[in-house]
This record gives sequence, structure tokens and C-alpha cells, in this order.
Amino acid sequence: MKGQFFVIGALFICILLFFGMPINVSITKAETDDMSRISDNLAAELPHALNLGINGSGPVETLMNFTEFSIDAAGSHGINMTCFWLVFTDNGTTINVSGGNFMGSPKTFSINISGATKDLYVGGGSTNWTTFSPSGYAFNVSVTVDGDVSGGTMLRNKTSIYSRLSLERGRNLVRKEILA
Amino acid sequence: MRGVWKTIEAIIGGLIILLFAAALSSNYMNISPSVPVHGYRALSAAYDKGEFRAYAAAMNYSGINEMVEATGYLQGYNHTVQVCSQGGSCAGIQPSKENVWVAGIMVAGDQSYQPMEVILYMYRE
Repeated sequence: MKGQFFVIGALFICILLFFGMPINVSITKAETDDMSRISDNLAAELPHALNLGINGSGPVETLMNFTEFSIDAAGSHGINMTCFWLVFTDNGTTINVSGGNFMGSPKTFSINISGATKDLYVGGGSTNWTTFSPSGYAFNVSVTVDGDVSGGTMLRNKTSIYSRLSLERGRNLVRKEILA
Repeated sequence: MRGVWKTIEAIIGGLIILLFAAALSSNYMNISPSVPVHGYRALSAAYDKGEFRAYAAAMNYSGINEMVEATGYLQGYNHTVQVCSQGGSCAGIQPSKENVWVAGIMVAGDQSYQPMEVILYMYRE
């Protein structure tokens, strides 16, 4: 008779477990965030806008226009987008560095190219430029904005872009660095 | 008699294990992403194909609609596509339903600079 009680007990425990389980709650969190996908999209399209600008009305003007377009489009999804970018263009003996600031307030970019440092002040929603004279076919860039330092290596024979963008919605924040 | 009960206990034990495995696989492990993520997956898969950019620049929303449909990510949802230019003019259909999920992707242009936003609306009848 002892064994039957174990069976009944087991059944009872099973019933408790199955009816007590929160059926619609998942252990693993579902993917709900669309912001990382939008940042991937912008990482692909900003360099594309730059290339179209080189063949069109100018890389900086085109990039500025596309950034404003992206900020508006992100805003329609409830996302606050801020970004800055630097465009590096070879002028033969010098490298022209154009900076676009869409971070909401004026910023000073401390730009270091292969050891030489210059400060570039850019007003909110506008652009400014400076020149450097690095040697060699490639040069290292580091940018300091609001204490954040980042950068990479650029090739001299192509117009390059370095950008940092931030997408914010409520407490969610996605940051992306673009180097192309 | 003792052997019969032992057999029943073994069957019940086996059933418990099977039911647990089934419960874990169906309720706990099969995670479905949120609806807009399905939309972004569909748009991303279409975006990776060559014609997407040309369709967006030409505001060819029906061409993009076919492309996102072909990705297979939108099964179970009705959907429409709109292509909107920088000036705010849009081609395509914005559904007037109660619950509509939206995913969007930006395109700088195709052969020339012509920024467009491709918007995918998803809803259930």
C-alpha cells in the first residue's frame, strides 16, 4: 500500500507544477529592441551618403543633409538620435578634416592625427574644418569629445568618415562607432 | 501485484520526464521576438538584396512589398509598405487599423543622393 501513496503523491506534485507554472512568462528575454537594427542601418547608410555626396553636391553637405534626415526619421520612431562625424579628404599635401556636430550643443573636438593635435570647435547642427599634414599613405586618428577618446586608422587615398552616434529611447541607449 | 504497481510507477515516471521536456521546449525555450523585430528582420533581409535600393529611390513600394514578403519573416501578419522622401511625400499604403506595428529603414539613395525612409506596417486582422 506504501507504493500507491508515492504514486498519488507524484501525481499531485506534477499537477501542482504544471498548473502553477507561469505559462506566458519566458526564461529567456525576447528580442524587443529595434534600436540596434536602426544603428546598423545608419552605419551602412552614412558612408553611402558620403560616397553619393562625393559624386554629387559635395560630401559634407550631403552628409549633413542625410544626418538631419536620419534624426527626423529616428524621431518618428520615438528615438532621440545624436551624432558627430569627421570626414577626411586628401588634398595632396594636406588632409582636410571636416566635422559635423549633431549632439545638441556646441562641441570642441580634440583631433590627433599621427601625433599632431588640433582642437576643432563646431557649433550645434553645423560643420567646421581644419587641416593636418601627416605623412604616409595611412594615418592614425584619435578624437576626444566630452572626455571620450576613440579613433582608428584611415587610408589617405580615399575620403574616409569617422562617426559616433547615439540612439536613445527612454532608458534604452545604443551607441555605435562608424569607421569607413 | 507488486510488479504491476512498479510498472505503473515507471510509466508515470517516464510521463513526468516527457511532460517536463515538452513543457520546457514549448513554453520556456521557444522565444518569439517582438513584432517590430520581425519587421526589421524582413526589411534587413530585403535591404541586403540589390534591388531594394533602386526600388526605394524610385519609391516603388510594391516592389519592396514583394521583397519583404519573400523573406518569410512576416508570416501571420498583414503588412503594407510606404516609401517616404525627405520632403515628407509618401508612396504606398498606411493601414488604418487599431493595432499597427512599424519598422523603418533609411536609404541614402541609389545612383544619386535621394534619401528615403522605407516604412513597413504590420497588423493582424
